[in-house]
Amino acid sequence: MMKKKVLLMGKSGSGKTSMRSIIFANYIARDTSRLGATIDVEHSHVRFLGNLVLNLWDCGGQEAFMENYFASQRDNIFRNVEVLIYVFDVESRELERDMHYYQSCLEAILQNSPEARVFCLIHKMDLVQDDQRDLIFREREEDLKRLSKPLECVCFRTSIWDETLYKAWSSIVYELIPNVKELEQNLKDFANIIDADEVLLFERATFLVISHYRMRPHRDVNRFEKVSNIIKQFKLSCSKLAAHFQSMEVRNSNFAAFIDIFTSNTYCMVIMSDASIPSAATLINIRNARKHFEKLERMNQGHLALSR
Amino acid sequence: MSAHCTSVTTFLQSVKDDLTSIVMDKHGEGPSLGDCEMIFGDGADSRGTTTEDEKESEDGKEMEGEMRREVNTTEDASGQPKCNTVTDLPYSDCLPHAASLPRFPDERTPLIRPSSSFTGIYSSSWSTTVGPSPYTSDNKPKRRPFHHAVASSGSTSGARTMDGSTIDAHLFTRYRYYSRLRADVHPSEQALVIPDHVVPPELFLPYIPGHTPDADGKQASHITIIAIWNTMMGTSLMTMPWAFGQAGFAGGLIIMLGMAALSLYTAIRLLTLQKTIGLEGPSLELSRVCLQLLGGTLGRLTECVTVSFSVLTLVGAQVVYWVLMSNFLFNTGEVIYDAMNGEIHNDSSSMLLCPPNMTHDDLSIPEPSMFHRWWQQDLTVPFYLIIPFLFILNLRNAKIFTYFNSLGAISVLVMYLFVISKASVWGFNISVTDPTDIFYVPLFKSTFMCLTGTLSLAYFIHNCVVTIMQGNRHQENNVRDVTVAYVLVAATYIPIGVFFYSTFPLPKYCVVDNFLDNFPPHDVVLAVVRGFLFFQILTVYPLLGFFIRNQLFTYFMGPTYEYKLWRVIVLNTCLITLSVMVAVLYPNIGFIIRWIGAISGLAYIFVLPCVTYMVALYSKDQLQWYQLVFHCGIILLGIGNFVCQFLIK
Repeated sequence: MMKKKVLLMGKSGSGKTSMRSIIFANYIARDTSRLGATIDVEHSHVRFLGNLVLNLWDCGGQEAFMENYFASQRDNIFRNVEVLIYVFDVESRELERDMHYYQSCLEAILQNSPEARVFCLIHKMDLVQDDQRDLIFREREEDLKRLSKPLECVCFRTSIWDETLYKAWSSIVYELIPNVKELEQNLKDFANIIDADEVLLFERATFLVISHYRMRPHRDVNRFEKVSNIIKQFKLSCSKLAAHFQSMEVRNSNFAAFIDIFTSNTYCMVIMSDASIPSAATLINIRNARKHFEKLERMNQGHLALSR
Repeated sequence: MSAHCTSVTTFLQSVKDDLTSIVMDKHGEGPSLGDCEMIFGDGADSRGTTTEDEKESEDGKEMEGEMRREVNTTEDASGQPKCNTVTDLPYSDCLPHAASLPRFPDERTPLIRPSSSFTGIYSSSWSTTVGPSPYTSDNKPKRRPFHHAVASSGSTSGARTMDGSTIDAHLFTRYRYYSRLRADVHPSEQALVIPDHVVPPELFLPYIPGHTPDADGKQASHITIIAIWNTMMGTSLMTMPWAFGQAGFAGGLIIMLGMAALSLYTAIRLLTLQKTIGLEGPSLELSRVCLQLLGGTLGRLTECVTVSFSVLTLVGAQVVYWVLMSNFLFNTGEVIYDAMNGEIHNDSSSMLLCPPNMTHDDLSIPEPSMFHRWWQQDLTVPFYLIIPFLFILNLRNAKIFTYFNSLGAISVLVMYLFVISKASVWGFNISVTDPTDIFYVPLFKSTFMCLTGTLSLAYFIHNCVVTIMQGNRHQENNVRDVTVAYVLVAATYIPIGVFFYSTFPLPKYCVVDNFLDNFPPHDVVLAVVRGFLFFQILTVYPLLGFFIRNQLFTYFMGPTYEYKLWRVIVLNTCLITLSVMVAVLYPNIGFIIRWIGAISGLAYIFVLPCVTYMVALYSKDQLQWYQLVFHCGIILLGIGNFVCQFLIK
């Protein structure tokens, strides 16, 4: 099946590489001094949500060269795009230029992949005083929505130092899954059957929470990001030993948590508060549920490409 | 390989703890982590494809093979998976394949200590301590790298929104994760380094040995009180006796008590400003609140004024510190020289100096030795001091300085006891009635503004009182705690000033603006005190430099100013030049302290709290005439304090 692209674009220095390394748990590359004539394109083959591949683009640098390259290569770049994620640096002093680049990208998208989804991230919001953040974000959002017509863009404000980055990417992933409501309903049924307190479904490459179901309210609203960060750290450690993380069980007298690979694109985390249920029972349940969810996924594999 | 594995196990331990604490949050009970176990799935079935990050290497396959074997034994005949404890991981028996497996940086995460250093903890990646873990499975320490205990369930009910503790716990997991992502990168690379404005304010507290911060990141009242006391207690302590004398006996007492009460009142006004305005939400910094209150151009003007006064105070403090450091270093050098030359001073306890008389005596010394030619308090020592600072100001890791800060508190206590003991020995040598007595002290003197100026700096905490009180666990006790702290500070300053001055057995004009100078250098107790103080000031000086730099650059270039080395060097050079010049040409700290005190006091102690309080009340139409009169009176006092400083010759 054809791979579709997720383009992560934005001006040089807007934070794309950091964002990508955080979400996809890649080590930060050494700062390769960007010699003028090269455009920074990273074709990373991280598989993401099944058949998506992330490409990271740097817009900016030599302007004349950029325009040329854009003009000659744009069909190549912008064909087959599923998602465009454009990153704006909130501290940027060149708003005109930023908007200009953004609009060029949008034109190219309109011509080559008109069905693509557009997301805009207003990044580095931690640099703005917190009582001004809402104001500034609303202003930018208005401008962007206006400029993006006829395409529709969804805007998020993000910062790597709070939970907004994770939430934005989670929302993006959530929008990309076609049958997410069905998934949630199935998760709920699954949780009720096995008597779990909470069940989470993570995307496999990024550990972004796709959907979750909880029986009881939990105080910590940002626990997903925490779990995600912890597991990604662990994956990094494992990769140093050339091993890969498959599953984990954490247990004490009050609870048992199971993190296991679920379908080809997801991991699941099951929390049981009844510690008397033996692990084997839960693991068998998970294994059986796996088949069911894989069937669900396969049914929609063809529809994983977006339809609006 | 065992080094690898034990580092992995340590890390797994922390993963387990983290996951447990997240899950346990929901039950609200303390985790009983002792019986927590971790079990790992096998890599036996390749379910689905993997990310391309992995290399299919010979070693990788070998590893998987080992794991497969191990895992098969984890299931008993009963079908119940045998639980592996953390130390029995499948990996622990694997043998390395020569150099192919990568070296593992040390897994230990940095301990978080309350730290008054901005740059110490967060500026370098945890992974710069490269090397094998020194722990084997036998001597692995029981402590967990980072553990934030779950708050007791009794204190909360139902759904609780994010509070300080959970925010910091999240920030810390993020910090750890991002640090790991930086593992391969040179520390100078700035990507994913935690910026200063994100570091939680609770970290900027004095380091109290043996005290660890509690789970919610806040501290109990008594710790806050100690923090305030520690911050306020400064070099003004040594100026107290002289300053008290400048105001006369009765005048001195009245002014000391009055200033303490007034400073306390205005500090409380600043602390409760946010509530007065009616601004809900978490407590904001003072400058933000003022900005809210005054708004617009007036707000920006206020910001400019606050920054300049703040920077002025800090620069003044730096200059005073340089003078004091020269003094202490000079005296310490004298002691060492004398000790090396075998000069033993007996009955040093009864010998006292009278520095105003001493300039004449000095001239009569026939031939100053070589050492004394090169070691003079005013002329040469200030320059020698530049040498250690060339190293210190380049130090990246400032965490070591926080330990030395505690020496200051010890020195203060020692001085306090010292003065009390001396005073009890000397007895009262004072007369307020007989002008012909050599110990005569008038009840009121016209130079009382020296005292007011000095006290303005002595009781000065208004620019950081909000920040420090933010860390108080029970916010409703803030006013009470500040009051107690002020009482303690007054109880430290007043006795030292009054008793020392009253009991000093030489004519009163001998008491100088640094009372340690009234004792000869070789007094043992004081030599030790001077040593401690020298180290403490040595470590506070660069910290002040940092604050100045931060405030100036933030004001001119915004909170995201780039760290450019040359700017820092230029600024540091200017500051040090200024300090050295003052130390050489006019090392009169009494003068400097009272001027700095008057200026910064005018802004922060008198004007700002009153103006903001009145504006806040006015905007709510609650301003009564008597409040207006009272606060305007305070402002006039402040202006008067400032103006009077000009009147002293």
